[in-house]
Amino acid sequence: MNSNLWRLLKDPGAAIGIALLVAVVVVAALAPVLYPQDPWSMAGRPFLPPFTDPQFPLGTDMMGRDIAAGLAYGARVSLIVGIVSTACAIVLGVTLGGIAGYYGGLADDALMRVTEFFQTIPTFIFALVMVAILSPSILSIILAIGIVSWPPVARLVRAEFASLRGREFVQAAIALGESDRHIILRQILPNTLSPVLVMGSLMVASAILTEAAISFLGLGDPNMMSWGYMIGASRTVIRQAWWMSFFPGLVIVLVVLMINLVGEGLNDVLNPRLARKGRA
Amino acid sequence: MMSQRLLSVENLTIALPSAGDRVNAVEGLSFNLNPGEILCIVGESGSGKSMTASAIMGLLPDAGVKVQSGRILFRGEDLLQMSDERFRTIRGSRIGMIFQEPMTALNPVMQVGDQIEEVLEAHGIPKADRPGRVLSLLNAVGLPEPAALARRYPFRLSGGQRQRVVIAMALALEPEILIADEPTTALDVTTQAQILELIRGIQRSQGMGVIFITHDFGVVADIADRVAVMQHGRIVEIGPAREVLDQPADAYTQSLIRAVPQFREKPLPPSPEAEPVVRVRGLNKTYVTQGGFFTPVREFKALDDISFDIRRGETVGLVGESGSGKSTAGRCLVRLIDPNGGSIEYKNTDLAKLSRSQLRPFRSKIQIVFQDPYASLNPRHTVGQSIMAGPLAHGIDAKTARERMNRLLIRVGLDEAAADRFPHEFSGGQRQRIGIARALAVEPDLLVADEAVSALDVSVQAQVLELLRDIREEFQLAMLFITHDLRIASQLCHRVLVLHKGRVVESGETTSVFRNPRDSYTRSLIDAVPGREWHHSPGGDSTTRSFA
Repeated sequence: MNSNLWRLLKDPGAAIGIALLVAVVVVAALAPVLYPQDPWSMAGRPFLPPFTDPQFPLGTDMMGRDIAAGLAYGARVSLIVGIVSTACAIVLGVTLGGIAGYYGGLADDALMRVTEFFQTIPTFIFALVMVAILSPSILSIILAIGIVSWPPVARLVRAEFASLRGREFVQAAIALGESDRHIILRQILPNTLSPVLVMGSLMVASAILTEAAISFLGLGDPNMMSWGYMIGASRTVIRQAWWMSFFPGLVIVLVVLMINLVGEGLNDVLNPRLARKGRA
Repeated sequence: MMSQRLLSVENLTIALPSAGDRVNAVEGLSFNLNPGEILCIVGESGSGKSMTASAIMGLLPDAGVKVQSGRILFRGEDLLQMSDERFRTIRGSRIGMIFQEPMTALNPVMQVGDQIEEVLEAHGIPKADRPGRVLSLLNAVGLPEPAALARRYPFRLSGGQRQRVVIAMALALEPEILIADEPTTALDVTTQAQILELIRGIQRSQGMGVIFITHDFGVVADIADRVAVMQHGRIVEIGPAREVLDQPADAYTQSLIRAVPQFREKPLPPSPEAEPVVRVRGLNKTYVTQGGFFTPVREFKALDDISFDIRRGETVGLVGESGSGKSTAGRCLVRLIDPNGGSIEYKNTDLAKLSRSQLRPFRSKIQIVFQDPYASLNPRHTVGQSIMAGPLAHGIDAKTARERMNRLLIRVGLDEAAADRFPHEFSGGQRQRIGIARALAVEPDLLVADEAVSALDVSVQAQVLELLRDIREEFQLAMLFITHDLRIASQLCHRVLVLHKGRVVESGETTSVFRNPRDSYTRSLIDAVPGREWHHSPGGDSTTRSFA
C-alpha cells in the first residue's frame, strides 16, 4: 500500500490535489485559532471590497461579517458533510451490495429492487425533501446525502461480488469449509476495495456540491456557516458585491476539482490496467 | 535461390519494454519459409514464438516493444521498412493470419458472412462478386449450409465452426503465406484433429507456405514439414520434422520431447484396498434456464446417472471434451454445485443430502485443485494465509496450522520463505503447487484435480504430475483426476470413465480402455489425439518412459 501512495504522489495532478486538500483540512481544523471570532458576528464595515483592508483580505458581506472567516468555518461543514455522508453511503452500499452479490437468488432480487426504488427518485430533490422533513441540521443533511448516494455503490459492489464469487480462489475457500462471513470479509471484500475507494473519493466531491446546493436553497444548518449558504445569501447583491459569492464559489470549484484529481490518480494507481489512455 | 523463398527472417531482434524480465523478446532469429511447406514453431510460454508471428504481421503491441534489428523479407521485400499503405495491401491478401481464440477474433455483433465480405471489400473485390466468394469460402472450409451460416452471428457457432470461419477469412484472398498462432489450442481434440486436417488440405491444394505456432509436439508430428524449436527468444534447433522429433540434437529439445505425455502400455498396479473412500451412485445434475413470458423453460442435462467408486490410493480419471459434464461432476463431489439427484456416500454419510451447514465438518475430507493457477489463489493473501485458512476454519490452532503449512510448502517443492510472499511472485507451476498444498492442508481423503495441469507448459506439467503421483502414494490419497488429455489420464489413472454429454459411455482399467475402446466415441477421442503415429525412440522402452 505504501508503494501505491508513493505512485499516487508521483502523479502531478494527484500530488497538487493532495497538497491543496491538506491545506483545506488544516485551515478547517485551525479555524477557531485563525478566526477566534464567531463567523456570524459583525466584525467590520458592511460591503467592504476585498484587498482593501488587510484585516479583511477577502472583504465583508452586507452584515459586515468576515468572508475569509466564513470560508474557513464553511470548510469544516463541507468536509464533514462530504466525508461522513460518503462513509455512510459506502458502509450501506457495500453491505447491501455484498450480500446481494454473494448470496444471489432471492436476497439479490429483494435488495436490488430496493436499490432500484431509490435510484428512480431524483436524488437531489429526494435529499431536499428529507432535509425539509427532518428539519435542517448538519446531521439531517449528512443522513439525506448518505441515503441518496448509496445505490451506485451497492450496484458496483454487487457486480464485483457476483463475479468474484465464481472465481476459483473463492470456490476453493468454500470447498475448504470457510464460513460465509469469513469468505465475504476476508476473501472477497479486499479484492473489491480499489474501485469502491475510487468511487468514494469522487462521491465526496458530489456530496460537497449537494450540501452547497441544499444550503444555497436555505435549508442548511442554521447554526453553521457554509459555502453554499454564503453564495445563497449574497445572490441578491451579486451586482454590488461580487466577492461575496465569488470566493465561496471559487473554493467549491477548487476543492471539488482537487478531489476529482485525487480520485482519478487513485484510479490510475489502483486499476493500472484501466489507466487513462496516453499514459502507457 | 533467393526468389524461391517466400519469407525469410534474418537476424531479427525484438526488444521488450525495460520493465520485462529479459531484454529481448526475440534475439537474433533467422529462418526461411519455402512455398508449399508447413513450418512449425514450437516452444513453451514466453519463448517468443507468438511475438515472432506478430512481428511478421506488423502487429507488435505498441507499448515499448520494438524491432531492434534484422529484416523480414517477403519475396525479397523488407516488411519492416515498408510504408503502412504498402503493408496493408500485403497483409490479409498475401499473408493471412489465424488466431488462437476464435471467439475474440470475430466481431460478436456482426454476421459472419459480412465479416468475410469486409475482408474482400478491404482489398477491392467488386461488390457483385462478394456474396458468391463468401459462400465458396465457407464451403471450402467445410461448413454445412453456407448460405444459412453466413447470416449467423459468431455466438451461435461452435468453437470449431468459429475457427473455420476465421480460417475462411484468412484464406479469402488466397494468401501465399498463412500464419497460424496456436489455432487449435482452445479446441477439443476431435475438433482439433479436423481443423489440422483442414489446414493441411488447403495448404496442399493451394501450395501456401504455413507458419504454424504451437506448444504441442503431438500437433507438430501431425502437421509439420519442418520444425523450429524456440527457447528464451532464440531458435535452439531447426530442421525437418522427422529429424528433430526422432533425433533431437539440442538438450532443450530433448527435454521437451521427453516431457510430452505418452500412452501407458502396462496397467498400474491396482490399489490393494477394497473398501471405497467415496461411492457415487446415480449422480444427476440438470441446469434449468428460467423461462420468461415468451421463452420456454429450457433444460440441460449436465450429468445423467453417473456412478463410480474411488478407493484409497487409487486415481480415477474422468475424461471427455468440453461440455461433457466432467467438471460438473467434480464440483458436485466437493458440493460447489448441488446435484439434483443421486448419492455421494462417504463413511456411511450421504454428502449429497446434507445441508450446507451440516456439510461443514465434511468439507475438509474432499478437496479440489483447480485448472487456472492464476485465478485459484487470492491475489491479496500471502501464500501462507491461503494455505492456513483451511486448517484455521476447521478449528486447528494457529501454531499447528503454521507447522503444517511449513511442512507442506517443503513437501510440494517450495521453501518456507514462500509463506510470506504473494501469489503474483510465483510462476504458474509454483502456484499450482501452492494450490495443492492448500488442498492437502486440511488432510483430505479424496482430492479432485480439475484439469490441474492443463494450463501448464509440458515440462512444468510433467513435474506437477510427478508431485501428484508422489503425494498420492505418500498420503494414500484417493484422487478424481479430471482432464481432456487422454495421454495424461493414461499416465496417472488406474481406471478411467469416459464422459460424453453427461453420460458415462465407457469405463474400466485405463490401459485396456485406451487400447481396446468398445465405444465409438472413445475411439474417436483416441484417434484424435495429436501425434499418435509418432513413435519416438523406436528402440527404447516406451512403456516405462515417465516424467523423470
